[in-house]
Amino acid sequence: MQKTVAQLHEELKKGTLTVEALVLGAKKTIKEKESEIHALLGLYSDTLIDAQIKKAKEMFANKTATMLTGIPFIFKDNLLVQGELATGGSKILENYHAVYDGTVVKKLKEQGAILLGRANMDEFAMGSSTENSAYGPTKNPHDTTRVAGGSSGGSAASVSAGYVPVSLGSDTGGSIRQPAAFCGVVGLKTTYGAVSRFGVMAMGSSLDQIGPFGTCVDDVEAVFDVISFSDPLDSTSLPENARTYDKPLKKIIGVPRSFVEQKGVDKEVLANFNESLKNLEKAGYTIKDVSVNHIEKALSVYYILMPAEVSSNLARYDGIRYGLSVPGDTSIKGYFESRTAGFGDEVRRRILLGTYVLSSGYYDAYYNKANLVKDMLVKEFNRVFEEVDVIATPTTPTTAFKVGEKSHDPLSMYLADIFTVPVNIVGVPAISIPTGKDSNNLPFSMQFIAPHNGEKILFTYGRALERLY
Amino acid sequence: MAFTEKDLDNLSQLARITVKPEEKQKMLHDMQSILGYVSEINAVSGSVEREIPELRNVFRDDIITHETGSNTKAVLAEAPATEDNYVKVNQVFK
Repeated sequence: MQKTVAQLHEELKKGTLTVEALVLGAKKTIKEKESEIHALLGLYSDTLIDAQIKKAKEMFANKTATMLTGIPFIFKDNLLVQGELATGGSKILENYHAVYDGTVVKKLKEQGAILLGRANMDEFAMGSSTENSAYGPTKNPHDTTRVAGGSSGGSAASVSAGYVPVSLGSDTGGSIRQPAAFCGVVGLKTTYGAVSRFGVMAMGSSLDQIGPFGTCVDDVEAVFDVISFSDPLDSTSLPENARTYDKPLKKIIGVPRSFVEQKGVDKEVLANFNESLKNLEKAGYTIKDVSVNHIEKALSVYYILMPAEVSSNLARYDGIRYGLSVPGDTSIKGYFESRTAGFGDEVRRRILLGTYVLSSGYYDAYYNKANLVKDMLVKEFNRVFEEVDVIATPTTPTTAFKVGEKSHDPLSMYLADIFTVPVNIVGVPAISIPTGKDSNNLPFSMQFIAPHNGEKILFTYGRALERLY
Repeated sequence: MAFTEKDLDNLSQLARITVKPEEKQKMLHDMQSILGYVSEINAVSGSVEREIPELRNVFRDDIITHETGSNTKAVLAEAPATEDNYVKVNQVFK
Protein backbone atom coordinates (compact mmCIF):
# COMPACT_ATOMS: atom_id res chain seq x y z
CA MET A 1 0.00 0.00 0.00
CA GLN A 2 1.34 3.41 -1.01
CA LYS A 3 1.77 6.05 1.63
CA THR A 4 -0.63 8.98 1.54
CA VAL A 5 0.35 12.64 1.42
CA ALA A 6 -0.69 13.07 5.06
CA GLN A 7 1.48 10.11 6.15
CA LEU A 8 4.46 11.37 4.18
CA HIS A 9 3.96 14.86 5.60
CA GLU A 10 4.04 13.51 9.17
CA GLU A 11 7.22 11.55 8.50
CA LEU A 12 8.91 14.51 6.85
CA LYS A 13 7.89 16.73 9.73
CA LYS A 14 9.15 14.31 12.37
CA GLY A 15 12.35 13.77 10.42
CA THR A 16 11.93 9.99 10.12
CA LEU A 17 11.96 10.59 6.35
CA THR A 18 14.02 13.15 4.46
CA VAL A 19 12.94 14.94 1.29
CA GLU A 20 16.02 13.56 -0.52
CA ALA A 21 15.17 9.99 0.46
CA LEU A 22 11.59 10.44 -0.70
CA VAL A 23 12.69 11.82 -4.08
CA LEU A 24 15.35 9.13 -4.45
CA GLY A 25 12.74 6.46 -3.71
CA ALA A 26 10.42 7.90 -6.36
CA LYS A 27 13.25 7.97 -8.91
CA LYS A 28 14.10 4.34 -8.07
CA THR A 29 10.51 3.18 -8.62
CA ILE A 30 10.44 5.07 -11.92
CA LYS A 31 13.67 3.42 -13.02
CA GLU A 32 12.30 -0.04 -12.17
CA LYS A 33 8.94 0.28 -13.87
CA GLU A 34 9.13 2.95 -16.52
CA SER A 35 10.39 0.78 -19.41
CA GLU A 36 7.24 -1.29 -19.04
CA ILE A 37 4.70 1.47 -18.37
CA HIS A 38 5.95 4.57 -20.18
CA ALA A 39 3.99 6.97 -18.01
CA LEU A 40 6.56 9.74 -18.42
CA LEU A 41 8.02 11.84 -21.20
CA GLY A 42 10.97 12.77 -19.01
CA LEU A 43 12.07 14.06 -15.64
CA TYR A 44 12.46 17.78 -14.97
CA SER A 45 16.01 19.12 -14.88
CA ASP A 46 18.20 18.32 -11.87
CA THR A 47 18.56 22.07 -11.37
CA LEU A 48 14.82 22.40 -10.79
CA ILE A 49 14.48 19.23 -8.70
CA ASP A 50 17.46 20.16 -6.52
CA ALA A 51 16.21 23.72 -6.05
CA GLN A 52 12.83 22.41 -4.88
CA ILE A 53 14.45 19.88 -2.51
CA LYS A 54 16.51 22.71 -1.02
CA LYS A 55 13.42 24.88 -0.68
CA ALA A 56 11.43 22.08 0.96
CA LYS A 57 14.19 21.39 3.47
CA GLU A 58 14.37 25.05 4.40
CA MET A 59 10.59 25.16 4.86
CA PHE A 60 10.72 22.18 7.22
CA ALA A 61 13.66 23.73 9.06
CA ASN A 62 11.97 27.09 9.62
CA LYS A 63 8.55 25.52 10.26
CA THR A 64 6.78 27.06 7.26
CA ALA A 65 6.21 23.66 5.62
CA THR A 66 2.69 22.92 4.38
CA MET A 67 0.99 19.63 3.52
CA LEU A 68 2.51 19.54 0.02
CA THR A 69 6.05 20.60 0.97
CA GLY A 70 8.54 17.95 -0.17
CA ILE A 71 5.83 15.88 -1.89
CA PRO A 72 6.88 14.67 -5.36
CA PHE A 73 4.51 15.50 -8.24
CA ILE A 74 4.16 14.43 -11.84
CA PHE A 75 2.59 17.04 -14.17
CA LYS A 76 0.77 16.36 -17.39
CA ASP A 77 3.00 17.63 -20.17
CA ASN A 78 0.59 20.41 -21.16
CA LEU A 79 1.52 22.42 -18.04
CA LEU A 80 4.21 25.02 -18.49
CA VAL A 81 7.23 24.98 -16.17
CA GLN A 82 9.69 27.76 -16.90
CA GLY A 83 12.80 26.64 -18.77
CA GLU A 84 11.61 23.00 -18.96
CA LEU A 85 10.42 21.00 -21.95
CA ALA A 86 6.65 21.02 -22.50
CA THR A 87 5.57 18.96 -25.51
CA GLY A 88 1.82 18.50 -25.07
CA GLY A 89 2.47 14.96 -26.32
CA SER A 90 3.00 16.44 -29.79
CA LYS A 91 5.85 16.38 -32.29
CA ILE A 92 5.14 20.00 -33.08
CA LEU A 93 6.49 20.96 -29.62
CA GLU A 94 9.18 18.29 -29.39
CA ASN A 95 11.90 20.78 -28.47
CA TYR A 96 9.77 23.51 -26.92
CA HIS A 97 10.86 24.98 -23.59
CA ALA A 98 8.26 26.87 -21.59
CA VAL A 99 9.01 30.55 -21.21
CA TYR A 100 7.07 31.04 -17.96
CA ASP A 101 5.44 29.13 -15.08
CA GLY A 102 1.72 28.40 -15.16
CA THR A 103 -0.20 29.72 -12.14
CA VAL A 104 -0.70 26.25 -10.64
CA VAL A 105 2.95 25.40 -11.25
CA LYS A 106 4.05 28.59 -9.56
CA LYS A 107 1.81 27.87 -6.59
CA LEU A 108 3.16 24.36 -6.10
CA LYS A 109 6.74 25.62 -6.44
CA GLU A 110 6.01 28.14 -3.67
CA GLN A 111 4.66 25.34 -1.48
CA GLY A 112 7.97 23.49 -1.82
CA ALA A 113 6.47 20.60 -3.79
CA ILE A 114 8.97 18.56 -5.80
CA LEU A 115 8.27 18.84 -9.53
CA LEU A 116 9.60 15.47 -10.62
CA GLY A 117 8.56 14.71 -14.17
CA ARG A 118 6.36 15.22 -17.19
CA ALA A 119 3.50 12.79 -17.80
CA ASN A 120 2.73 11.21 -21.14
CA MET A 121 -0.59 12.26 -22.70
CA ASP A 122 -2.62 12.03 -25.88
CA GLU A 123 -1.42 14.71 -28.27
CA PHE A 124 -2.76 18.06 -27.01
CA ALA A 125 -5.07 16.06 -24.69
CA MET A 126 -7.07 14.62 -27.60
CA GLY A 127 -7.81 11.00 -26.89
CA SER A 128 -9.04 8.46 -24.36
CA SER A 129 -6.16 6.00 -24.21
CA THR A 130 -2.84 7.94 -24.46
CA GLU A 131 -2.31 6.04 -27.73
CA ASN A 132 -2.44 9.39 -29.57
CA SER A 133 0.77 10.52 -27.88
CA ALA A 134 3.46 11.19 -30.48
CA TYR A 135 5.82 9.42 -28.06
CA GLY A 136 4.04 6.07 -27.76
CA PRO A 137 1.24 4.81 -25.50
CA THR A 138 1.24 4.55 -21.69
CA LYS A 139 0.45 1.04 -20.45
CA ASN A 140 -1.93 0.24 -17.63
CA PRO A 141 0.00 -0.70 -14.46
CA HIS A 142 -2.67 -3.34 -13.67
CA ASP A 143 -2.17 -5.07 -17.05
CA THR A 144 0.41 -3.77 -19.49
CA THR A 145 -1.44 -5.18 -22.51
CA ARG A 146 -4.14 -2.60 -21.75
CA VAL A 147 -4.35 1.17 -22.04
CA ALA A 148 -4.03 3.52 -19.07
CA GLY A 149 -6.89 5.63 -20.42
CA GLY A 150 -6.51 9.23 -21.48
CA SER A 151 -5.80 11.80 -22.20
CA SER A 152 -4.02 12.14 -18.80
CA GLY A 153 -2.92 8.49 -18.94
CA GLY A 154 0.63 9.21 -17.78
CA SER A 155 -0.56 11.17 -14.74
CA ALA A 156 -2.94 8.35 -13.71
CA ALA A 157 -0.40 5.59 -14.30
CA SER A 158 2.30 7.50 -12.35
CA VAL A 159 0.14 7.38 -9.23
CA SER A 160 -1.14 3.86 -9.88
CA ALA A 161 2.40 2.49 -10.39
CA GLY A 162 3.58 4.17 -7.19
CA TYR A 163 5.96 6.70 -8.74
CA VAL A 164 4.37 9.56 -6.81
CA PRO A 165 1.48 9.94 -4.35
CA VAL A 166 -0.20 12.69 -6.42
CA SER A 167 -0.14 14.13 -9.93
CA LEU A 168 -1.88 16.74 -12.04
CA GLY A 169 -3.84 16.27 -15.23
CA SER A 170 -6.38 18.17 -17.28
CA ASP A 171 -9.94 17.17 -18.07
CA THR A 172 -11.82 18.43 -21.13
CA GLY A 173 -14.26 15.53 -21.58
CA GLY A 174 -13.11 12.97 -19.03
CA SER A 175 -9.34 13.11 -19.38
CA ILE A 176 -8.77 12.90 -15.62
CA ARG A 177 -11.65 10.67 -14.49
CA GLN A 178 -11.46 8.07 -17.25
CA PRO A 179 -7.72 7.26 -16.82
CA ALA A 180 -8.18 7.40 -13.03
CA ALA A 181 -10.91 4.76 -13.42
CA PHE A 182 -8.80 2.58 -15.71
CA CYS A 183 -5.78 2.79 -13.39
CA GLY A 184 -7.70 2.38 -10.11
CA VAL A 185 -6.90 5.77 -8.56
CA VAL A 186 -8.96 8.78 -7.47
CA GLY A 187 -9.30 11.60 -10.03
CA LEU A 188 -11.04 14.96 -9.69
CA LYS A 189 -12.45 17.18 -12.43
CA THR A 190 -12.87 20.59 -10.83
CA THR A 191 -15.64 23.15 -11.32
CA TYR A 192 -15.15 25.24 -14.47
CA GLY A 193 -13.33 28.34 -13.24
CA ALA A 194 -12.06 26.78 -10.01
CA VAL A 195 -8.43 26.26 -11.01
CA SER A 196 -6.44 28.73 -13.10
CA ARG A 197 -5.52 27.64 -16.61
CA PHE A 198 -2.85 30.26 -17.09
CA GLY A 199 0.12 28.32 -18.43
CA VAL A 200 -1.83 25.30 -19.64
CA MET A 201 -1.99 24.46 -23.34
CA ALA A 202 -5.54 25.24 -24.43
CA MET A 203 -7.67 22.58 -26.08
CA GLY A 204 -11.39 23.30 -25.61
CA SER A 205 -11.36 26.51 -23.62
CA SER A 206 -15.00 26.36 -22.52
CA LEU A 207 -14.41 22.85 -21.14
CA ASP A 208 -10.77 22.46 -19.96
CA GLN A 209 -10.00 22.19 -16.26
CA ILE A 210 -6.94 21.10 -14.27
CA GLY A 211 -7.34 18.60 -11.46
CA PRO A 212 -5.45 16.17 -9.23
CA PHE A 213 -4.96 12.40 -9.09
CA GLY A 214 -4.21 10.54 -5.85
CA THR A 215 -4.49 7.17 -4.17
CA CYS A 216 -7.23 8.44 -1.84
CA VAL A 217 -9.80 11.23 -1.57
CA ASP A 218 -7.87 13.00 1.22
CA ASP A 219 -4.82 13.45 -1.02
CA VAL A 220 -6.88 14.76 -3.92
CA GLU A 221 -8.57 17.19 -1.54
CA ALA A 222 -5.22 18.36 -0.15
CA VAL A 223 -4.05 19.26 -3.66
CA PHE A 224 -7.39 20.81 -4.64
CA ASP A 225 -7.31 23.08 -1.58
CA VAL A 226 -3.95 24.47 -2.69
CA ILE A 227 -4.56 24.89 -6.43
CA SER A 228 -8.06 26.37 -6.39
CA PHE A 229 -8.03 30.13 -6.00
CA SER A 230 -8.95 33.16 -8.04
CA ASP A 231 -6.33 34.19 -10.60
CA PRO A 232 -6.35 37.53 -12.45
CA LEU A 233 -4.26 35.91 -15.21
CA ASP A 234 -7.14 33.61 -16.21
CA SER A 235 -10.18 35.52 -17.42
CA THR A 236 -12.48 32.56 -16.64
CA SER A 237 -11.22 32.16 -13.06
CA LEU A 238 -14.08 32.39 -10.54
CA PRO A 239 -13.82 35.31 -8.12
CA GLU A 240 -13.26 34.32 -4.46
CA ASN A 241 -16.79 35.33 -3.49
CA ALA A 242 -18.32 33.01 -6.12
CA ARG A 243 -16.70 29.82 -4.88
CA THR A 244 -18.87 28.81 -1.97
CA TYR A 245 -21.48 26.12 -1.74
CA ASP A 246 -23.47 26.22 1.45
CA LYS A 247 -26.65 24.20 0.93
CA PRO A 248 -27.06 21.46 3.58
CA LEU A 249 -26.59 17.85 2.45
CA LYS A 250 -29.70 15.76 1.83
CA LYS A 251 -27.88 12.41 1.72
CA ILE A 252 -29.68 11.61 -1.55
CA ILE A 253 -27.90 10.18 -4.60
CA GLY A 254 -29.51 10.62 -8.03
CA VAL A 255 -29.10 7.86 -10.63
CA PRO A 256 -29.99 8.60 -14.28
CA ARG A 257 -31.06 5.00 -14.73
CA SER A 258 -31.82 4.83 -18.47
CA PHE A 259 -28.60 6.69 -19.29
CA VAL A 260 -26.52 4.36 -17.12
CA GLU A 261 -28.14 1.22 -18.50
CA GLN A 262 -27.70 2.11 -22.16
CA LYS A 263 -26.35 -0.21 -24.82
CA GLY A 264 -22.59 -0.71 -24.74
CA VAL A 265 -22.24 -0.62 -20.97
CA ASP A 266 -20.48 -3.75 -19.74
CA LYS A 267 -22.57 -6.14 -17.58
CA GLU A 268 -19.90 -6.47 -14.92
CA VAL A 269 -19.56 -2.68 -14.74
CA LEU A 270 -23.32 -2.34 -14.21
CA ALA A 271 -23.38 -5.08 -11.56
CA ASN A 272 -20.53 -3.40 -9.69
CA PHE A 273 -22.26 -0.01 -9.96
CA ASN A 274 -25.50 -1.41 -8.53
CA GLU A 275 -23.62 -3.17 -5.74
CA SER A 276 -21.87 0.10 -4.83
CA LEU A 277 -25.25 1.85 -4.70
CA LYS A 278 -26.62 -0.88 -2.41
CA ASN A 279 -23.65 -0.49 -0.11
CA LEU A 280 -24.14 3.26 -0.01
CA GLU A 281 -27.79 2.67 0.81
CA LYS A 282 -26.75 0.46 3.73
CA ALA A 283 -24.44 3.24 4.84
CA GLY A 284 -27.45 5.55 5.17
CA TYR A 285 -27.78 7.21 1.76
CA THR A 286 -31.02 7.31 -0.25
CA ILE A 287 -30.85 6.28 -3.90
CA LYS A 288 -33.27 8.06 -6.20
CA ASP A 289 -33.83 7.46 -9.90
CA VAL A 290 -33.68 10.72 -11.84
CA SER A 291 -34.03 11.61 -15.48
CA VAL A 292 -31.83 14.25 -17.04
CA ASN A 293 -33.38 15.23 -20.38
CA HIS A 294 -30.99 15.26 -23.35
CA ILE A 295 -28.08 13.80 -21.33
CA GLU A 296 -27.68 11.12 -24.03
CA LYS A 297 -26.95 13.96 -26.49
CA ALA A 298 -24.01 15.28 -24.46
CA LEU A 299 -21.38 13.34 -26.43
CA SER A 300 -22.65 14.85 -29.69
CA VAL A 301 -22.65 18.32 -28.18
CA TYR A 302 -19.09 17.68 -27.05
CA TYR A 303 -17.88 16.52 -30.45
CA ILE A 304 -19.17 19.75 -31.96
CA LEU A 305 -18.13 22.36 -29.38
CA MET A 306 -14.74 20.84 -28.54
CA PRO A 307 -13.43 20.50 -32.15
CA ALA A 308 -14.71 24.02 -32.87
CA GLU A 309 -12.55 25.33 -30.03
CA VAL A 310 -9.66 23.05 -30.98
CA SER A 311 -9.60 24.40 -34.52
CA SER A 312 -9.30 27.94 -33.15
CA ASN A 313 -6.87 27.18 -30.30
CA LEU A 314 -4.48 25.17 -32.44
CA ALA A 315 -4.27 27.85 -35.11
CA ARG A 316 -1.38 29.20 -33.02
CA TYR A 317 0.91 26.38 -34.15
CA ASP A 318 2.15 28.07 -37.27
CA GLY A 319 5.79 27.02 -37.40
CA ILE A 320 6.84 30.65 -37.10
CA ARG A 321 6.98 31.73 -33.47
CA TYR A 322 7.86 28.43 -31.76
CA GLY A 323 7.77 24.70 -32.28
CA LEU A 324 8.44 22.58 -35.32
CA SER A 325 9.04 24.55 -38.50
CA VAL A 326 9.19 23.01 -41.95
CA PRO A 327 9.91 25.83 -44.35
CA GLY A 328 7.94 25.93 -47.62
CA ASP A 329 9.00 28.13 -50.48
CA THR A 330 6.47 30.73 -49.33
CA SER A 331 5.09 31.52 -45.86
CA ILE A 332 1.71 30.00 -46.58
CA LYS A 333 3.26 26.73 -47.72
CA GLY A 334 5.29 26.74 -44.52
CA TYR A 335 2.04 26.64 -42.51
CA PHE A 336 0.87 23.57 -44.42
CA GLU A 337 4.21 21.80 -44.17
CA SER A 338 4.75 22.51 -40.47
CA ARG A 339 1.20 21.66 -39.34
CA THR A 340 1.02 18.53 -41.47
CA ALA A 341 4.39 17.27 -40.22
CA GLY A 342 3.78 18.28 -36.60
CA PHE A 343 0.20 17.15 -35.90
CA GLY A 344 -0.92 13.53 -35.55
CA ASP A 345 -4.05 12.00 -37.09
CA GLU A 346 -6.51 12.70 -34.27
CA VAL A 347 -5.45 16.33 -33.93
CA ARG A 348 -5.78 16.90 -37.67
CA ARG A 349 -9.16 15.15 -37.66
CA ARG A 350 -10.47 17.40 -34.88
CA ILE A 351 -9.13 20.57 -36.48
CA LEU A 352 -10.89 19.65 -39.74
CA LEU A 353 -14.07 18.74 -37.87
CA GLY A 354 -14.00 22.03 -35.98
CA THR A 355 -13.38 23.99 -39.15
CA TYR A 356 -16.41 22.25 -40.68
CA VAL A 357 -18.88 22.90 -37.84
CA LEU A 358 -17.84 26.55 -37.75
CA SER A 359 -18.09 27.05 -41.51
CA SER A 360 -20.84 29.42 -42.62
CA GLY A 361 -23.12 26.82 -44.19
CA TYR A 362 -23.13 24.51 -41.14
CA TYR A 363 -22.68 26.89 -38.22
CA ASP A 364 -26.37 26.95 -37.31
CA ALA A 365 -26.97 23.24 -37.77
CA TYR A 366 -24.02 22.20 -35.61
CA TYR A 367 -22.41 24.87 -33.48
CA ASN A 368 -25.48 26.90 -32.57
CA LYS A 369 -27.58 23.80 -32.04
CA ALA A 370 -24.91 22.29 -29.78
CA ASN A 371 -24.86 25.46 -27.70
CA LEU A 372 -28.64 25.31 -27.35
CA VAL A 373 -28.49 21.72 -26.10
CA LYS A 374 -25.65 22.72 -23.77
CA ASP A 375 -27.87 25.41 -22.22
CA MET A 376 -30.68 22.88 -21.88
CA LEU A 377 -28.34 20.46 -20.11
CA VAL A 378 -27.19 23.13 -17.65
CA LYS A 379 -30.85 23.79 -16.76
CA GLU A 380 -31.56 20.08 -16.42
CA PHE A 381 -28.63 19.48 -14.09
CA ASN A 382 -29.62 22.47 -11.95
CA ARG A 383 -33.16 21.09 -11.73
CA VAL A 384 -31.97 17.63 -10.67
CA PHE A 385 -29.58 19.11 -8.09
CA GLU A 386 -32.59 20.64 -6.34
CA GLU A 387 -33.52 17.09 -5.33
CA VAL A 388 -30.19 15.31 -4.87
CA ASP A 389 -26.68 16.05 -3.55
CA VAL A 390 -24.87 14.16 -6.28
CA ILE A 391 -25.57 12.27 -9.48
CA ALA A 392 -23.86 8.88 -9.70
CA THR A 393 -22.81 6.91 -12.80
CA PRO A 394 -20.08 4.39 -13.51
CA THR A 395 -17.06 6.48 -14.59
CA THR A 396 -16.60 4.42 -17.75
CA PRO A 397 -18.81 1.98 -19.70
CA THR A 398 -16.10 -0.71 -19.57
CA THR A 399 -12.90 -1.37 -17.65
CA ALA A 400 -9.54 -0.71 -19.39
CA PHE A 401 -9.49 -1.92 -22.99
CA LYS A 402 -6.61 -3.50 -24.89
CA VAL A 403 -3.88 -1.42 -26.52
CA GLY A 404 -4.86 -1.09 -30.20
CA GLU A 405 -8.46 -2.22 -29.62
CA LYS A 406 -10.09 1.11 -30.51
CA SER A 407 -7.29 3.11 -32.11
CA HIS A 408 -8.50 2.42 -35.67
CA ASP A 409 -12.04 3.69 -35.04
CA PRO A 410 -12.31 7.20 -33.57
CA LEU A 411 -16.04 6.99 -32.85
CA SER A 412 -15.68 3.84 -30.71
CA MET A 413 -12.89 5.61 -28.81
CA TYR A 414 -15.13 8.65 -28.23
CA LEU A 415 -17.79 6.41 -26.65
CA ALA A 416 -15.35 5.56 -23.83
CA ASP A 417 -16.16 9.04 -22.46
CA ILE A 418 -19.94 8.72 -22.60
CA PHE A 419 -20.40 9.15 -18.80
CA THR A 420 -17.74 11.79 -18.23
CA VAL A 421 -18.47 14.24 -21.07
CA PRO A 422 -21.80 15.68 -19.76
CA VAL A 423 -19.94 17.03 -16.70
CA ASN A 424 -17.66 19.24 -18.81
CA ILE A 425 -20.55 20.47 -20.94
CA VAL A 426 -22.33 21.65 -17.78
CA GLY A 427 -19.13 22.85 -16.04
CA VAL A 428 -19.77 21.05 -12.75
CA PRO A 429 -17.19 19.10 -10.72
CA ALA A 430 -16.99 15.30 -10.59
CA ILE A 431 -14.82 12.67 -8.95
CA SER A 432 -13.93 9.11 -9.89
CA ILE A 433 -13.56 6.60 -7.03
CA PRO A 434 -12.26 3.01 -7.42
CA THR A 435 -14.85 0.38 -6.49
CA GLY A 436 -13.11 -2.98 -6.67
CA LYS A 437 -11.96 -5.12 -9.59
CA ASP A 438 -13.53 -7.14 -12.39
CA SER A 439 -12.93 -10.78 -13.38
CA ASN A 440 -9.76 -9.73 -15.24
CA ASN A 441 -8.49 -7.99 -12.11
CA LEU A 442 -9.04 -4.55 -13.65
CA PRO A 443 -10.33 -1.63 -11.56
CA PHE A 444 -13.99 -0.55 -11.53
CA SER A 445 -14.94 3.02 -10.69
CA MET A 446 -17.91 5.15 -9.73
CA GLN A 447 -18.34 8.78 -10.70
CA PHE A 448 -20.06 11.32 -8.44
CA ILE A 449 -21.16 14.60 -10.02
CA ALA A 450 -21.94 17.62 -7.80
CA PRO A 451 -23.35 21.10 -8.45
CA HIS A 452 -21.01 24.00 -9.32
CA ASN A 453 -18.48 24.57 -6.51
CA GLY A 454 -19.59 21.33 -4.85
CA GLU A 455 -16.10 19.78 -4.57
CA LYS A 456 -16.50 19.36 -0.81
CA ILE A 457 -19.67 17.33 -1.41
CA LEU A 458 -17.64 15.10 -3.71
CA PHE A 459 -15.00 14.58 -1.03
CA THR A 460 -17.66 13.67 1.54
CA TYR A 461 -19.33 11.19 -0.80
CA GLY A 462 -15.97 9.97 -2.09
CA ARG A 463 -14.80 9.13 1.41
CA ALA A 464 -18.08 7.38 2.19
CA LEU A 465 -17.65 5.17 -0.89
CA GLU A 466 -13.92 4.68 -0.34
CA ARG A 467 -14.60 3.21 3.10
CA LEU A 468 -16.70 0.46 1.49
CA TYR A 469 -13.80 -0.84 -0.67
CA MET B 1 -25.71 17.03 -45.48
CA ALA B 2 -23.40 14.49 -47.07
CA PHE B 3 -19.76 15.17 -46.40
CA THR B 4 -17.87 14.86 -49.67
CA GLU B 5 -14.28 14.66 -50.81
CA LYS B 6 -14.67 18.21 -52.09
CA ASP B 7 -15.62 19.35 -48.58
CA LEU B 8 -12.51 17.66 -47.23
CA ASP B 9 -10.27 19.40 -49.77
CA ASN B 10 -11.86 22.73 -49.01
CA LEU B 11 -11.50 22.30 -45.23
CA SER B 12 -7.89 21.24 -45.42
CA GLN B 13 -7.16 24.44 -47.33
CA LEU B 14 -8.97 26.52 -44.70
CA ALA B 15 -7.29 24.74 -41.78
CA ARG B 16 -3.82 24.80 -43.38
CA ILE B 17 -3.49 21.04 -43.11
CA THR B 18 -2.59 18.71 -45.94
CA VAL B 19 -4.47 15.44 -46.22
CA LYS B 20 -2.28 13.18 -48.35
CA PRO B 21 -3.96 11.28 -51.20
CA GLU B 22 -3.37 7.92 -49.49
CA GLU B 23 -5.03 9.20 -46.27
CA LYS B 24 -8.10 10.66 -47.94
CA GLN B 25 -10.46 7.68 -47.91
CA LYS B 26 -9.87 6.93 -44.22
CA MET B 27 -10.22 10.59 -43.22
CA LEU B 28 -13.37 10.93 -45.31
CA HIS B 29 -14.86 7.82 -43.72
CA ASP B 30 -13.99 9.01 -40.17
CA MET B 31 -15.44 12.46 -40.77
CA GLN B 32 -18.64 11.01 -42.22
CA SER B 33 -19.08 8.63 -39.31
CA ILE B 34 -18.44 11.32 -36.67
CA LEU B 35 -20.69 13.88 -38.39
CA GLY B 36 -23.35 11.19 -38.80
CA TYR B 37 -23.24 10.55 -35.07
CA VAL B 38 -23.31 14.18 -33.90
CA SER B 39 -26.11 15.07 -36.32
CA GLU B 40 -28.50 13.46 -33.83
CA ILE B 41 -28.63 16.79 -32.02
CA ASN B 42 -30.77 18.10 -34.85
CA ALA B 43 -33.58 15.99 -33.39
CA VAL B 44 -33.63 18.24 -30.32
CA SER B 45 -36.14 21.03 -30.65
CA GLY B 46 -37.25 23.83 -28.40
CA SER B 47 -35.53 26.78 -26.90
CA VAL B 48 -34.13 27.75 -23.58
CA GLU B 49 -34.06 31.07 -21.91
CA ARG B 50 -30.41 31.99 -21.58
CA GLU B 51 -29.47 32.97 -18.09
CA ILE B 52 -26.75 35.47 -17.38
CA PRO B 53 -23.75 33.24 -16.87
CA GLU B 54 -21.98 33.29 -13.53
CA LEU B 55 -18.65 33.50 -15.26
CA ARG B 56 -17.59 36.95 -16.36
CA ASN B 57 -14.61 38.06 -18.28
CA VAL B 58 -12.07 39.65 -16.02
CA PHE B 59 -10.20 42.59 -17.37
CA ARG B 60 -7.21 44.37 -15.96
CA ASP B 61 -6.18 47.95 -16.53
CA ASP B 62 -4.22 48.41 -19.71
CA ILE B 63 -0.94 49.21 -18.05
CA ILE B 64 2.55 47.91 -18.65
CA THR B 65 3.21 45.13 -16.14
CA HIS B 66 6.81 44.34 -16.92
CA GLU B 67 9.90 46.00 -18.24
CA THR B 68 10.09 46.26 -22.03
CA GLY B 69 12.34 43.55 -23.42
CA SER B 70 12.51 41.52 -20.21
CA ASN B 71 11.05 38.40 -21.88
CA THR B 72 12.32 39.00 -25.41
CA LYS B 73 15.37 36.77 -25.21
CA ALA B 74 13.52 33.77 -23.76
CA VAL B 75 10.65 34.09 -26.21
CA LEU B 76 12.86 34.52 -29.27
CA ALA B 77 14.97 31.54 -28.19
CA GLU B 78 11.97 29.34 -29.05
CA ALA B 79 11.46 30.83 -32.51
CA PRO B 80 12.67 28.68 -35.41
CA ALA B 81 14.40 31.60 -37.16
CA THR B 82 15.33 35.05 -35.91
CA GLU B 83 17.36 38.03 -37.02
CA ASP B 84 18.35 40.74 -34.59
CA ASN B 85 15.33 41.00 -32.31
CA TYR B 86 12.84 39.83 -34.93
CA VAL B 87 11.18 36.56 -35.85
CA LYS B 88 12.27 35.77 -39.37
CA VAL B 89 9.73 34.43 -41.90
CA ASN B 90 9.76 33.40 -45.49
CA GLN B 91 8.50 35.84 -48.08
CA VAL B 92 4.72 35.92 -48.24
CA PHE B 93 4.32 36.31 -52.01
CA LYS B 94 6.42 34.86 -54.71
